[in-house]
Amino acid sequence: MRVIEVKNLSYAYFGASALEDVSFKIKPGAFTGVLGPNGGGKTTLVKLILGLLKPQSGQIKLFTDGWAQIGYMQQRAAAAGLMPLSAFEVARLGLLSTKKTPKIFNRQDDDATLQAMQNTGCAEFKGKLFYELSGGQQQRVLLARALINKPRLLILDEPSTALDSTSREVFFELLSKLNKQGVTILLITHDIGEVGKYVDSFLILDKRLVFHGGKQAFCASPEVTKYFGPYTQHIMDHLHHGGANGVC
Amino acid sequence: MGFVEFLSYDFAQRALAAGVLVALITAALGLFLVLKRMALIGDSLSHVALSGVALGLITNLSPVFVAMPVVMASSLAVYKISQSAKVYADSALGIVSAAGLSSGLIIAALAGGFNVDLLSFLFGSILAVSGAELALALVLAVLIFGFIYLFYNELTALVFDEDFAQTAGVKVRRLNIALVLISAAAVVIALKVAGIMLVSAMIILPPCAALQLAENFKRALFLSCALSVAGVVLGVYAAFLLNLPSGAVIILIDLLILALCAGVKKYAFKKRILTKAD
Ligand SMILES: Nc1ncnc2c1ncn2[C@@H]1O[C@H](COP(=O)(O)OP(=O)(O)OP(=O)(O)O)[C@@H](O)[C@H]1O
Ligand SMILES: [Mg+2]
Repeated sequence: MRVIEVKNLSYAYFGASALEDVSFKIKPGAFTGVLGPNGGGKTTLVKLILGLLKPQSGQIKLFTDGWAQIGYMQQRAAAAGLMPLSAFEVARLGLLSTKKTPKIFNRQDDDATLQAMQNTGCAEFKGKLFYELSGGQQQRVLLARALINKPRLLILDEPSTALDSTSREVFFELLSKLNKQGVTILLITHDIGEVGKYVDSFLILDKRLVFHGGKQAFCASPEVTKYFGPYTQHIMDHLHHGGANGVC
Repeated sequence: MGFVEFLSYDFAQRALAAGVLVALITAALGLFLVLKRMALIGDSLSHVALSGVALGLITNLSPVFVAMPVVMASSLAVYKISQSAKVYADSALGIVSAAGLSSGLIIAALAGGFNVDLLSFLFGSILAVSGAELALALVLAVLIFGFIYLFYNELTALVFDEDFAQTAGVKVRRLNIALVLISAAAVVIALKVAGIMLVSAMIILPPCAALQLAENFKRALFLSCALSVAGVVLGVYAAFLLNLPSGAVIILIDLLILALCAGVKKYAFKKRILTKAD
């Protein structure tokens, strides 16, 4: 059983390689932390999985029933610009994937939107213009948008960067709850200490796949030690103190 | 001559009808283009229209009907070039604009320079709108507003965030192509009203004015159309009274409206700050 299967995937931008021969499988219900340096190809991988980029070689198989099942939150709240949409309207766009043209929203959709916004703690500014919200508030709205159609697979590209520490805690608790309800989560992050508590496996990308496995294996892996070098101990401490069920 | 008397003339009725239709088309479409940072597509395609019009005049065919396919094909070129990851959309517009302007000027020179007909397209001659052109404007208006109605939420998503739109199952490519093709049609149909020189202003000014005031997208769409229609009606009448080129007068009024809207916004903002401070 798997939700995502990536096989010998490579991708290059104008000849500059971003991913080389990456293969892995993600099991249903997994909560995977994707790590790696800046420029390691994490965002590229996500875009390939979502079909925003086409694989140049290798293949990606998704075992979900179409788009309605994937929730996606980008690294950057894309150029919202001056588009005068309220936070509510932005969150509701998450329901587009469930509709056929003409895609028109009804009362039920509005209720679902409000519910999702309550879950991610942004209902109180639902009437405000999206572009007037702070970065962290925008992220909550975008998370509501990603969660609104009850996805089976959630792909989050550095979702917590703009959140203050309290909201971050709330945010990860929410993800953890969803995960326990069976949602498969792929979480890209640089904050290894923070996610250690919640994820059950790690995937390290640095053009190539450096490591993919559970937390136990992560702690024991020579690749990880080699990869993080002098920081390894620091990371292990983090995982330990982060309450990762004493894995390390 | 009073406005009511002006309205009793056949040519005036036709001019106003065409003007209002064009105002609605450019204002509604323009709002999407402005928010998508494609506002200058009107500028670029109007330059292409110059070669279309010149070609029409040289072959003795209707300039508008010759320009239509030429401009539409060029709008696809704009799309294609902007899709190449190494060219920004605004540069793509510049490239197509250069192609249109240079070939237009050469065709015009071959035809023996700028004659009165070509000049009327450069500056607009709304009082000379033909019945066929009016009919074309009506058909286009129906098509464009139908398109916006059917794809409203998809267009919203597309303008707001294209990557997300694609993951939400919006046919991004098709919608983008539809948008550039519609822009092409809008530019050509607006030629008689605003003229090649000023067509893009009709696409930019009313949406910008509306965005100063509107606090949601639907209202921005409505306001953009309303302001645009106001500009055309006032402009056509004033141009007739003062015997000035209609396009220039309309755009001047649109500029005034924009300045007014920006002023109102500033005033409202100041007032809000003051009442909050109390
Ligand atoms: N649109 C693009 N055009 C050209 N090169 C790109 C583009 N996007 C990414 N790259 C390159 O591909 C490589 C991988 O980038 P990617 O964005 O996938 O990294 P990342 O792991 O997400 O990094 P970060 O942690 O900084 O978000 C980098 O070397 C980057 O310069
Ligand atoms: Mg990234």
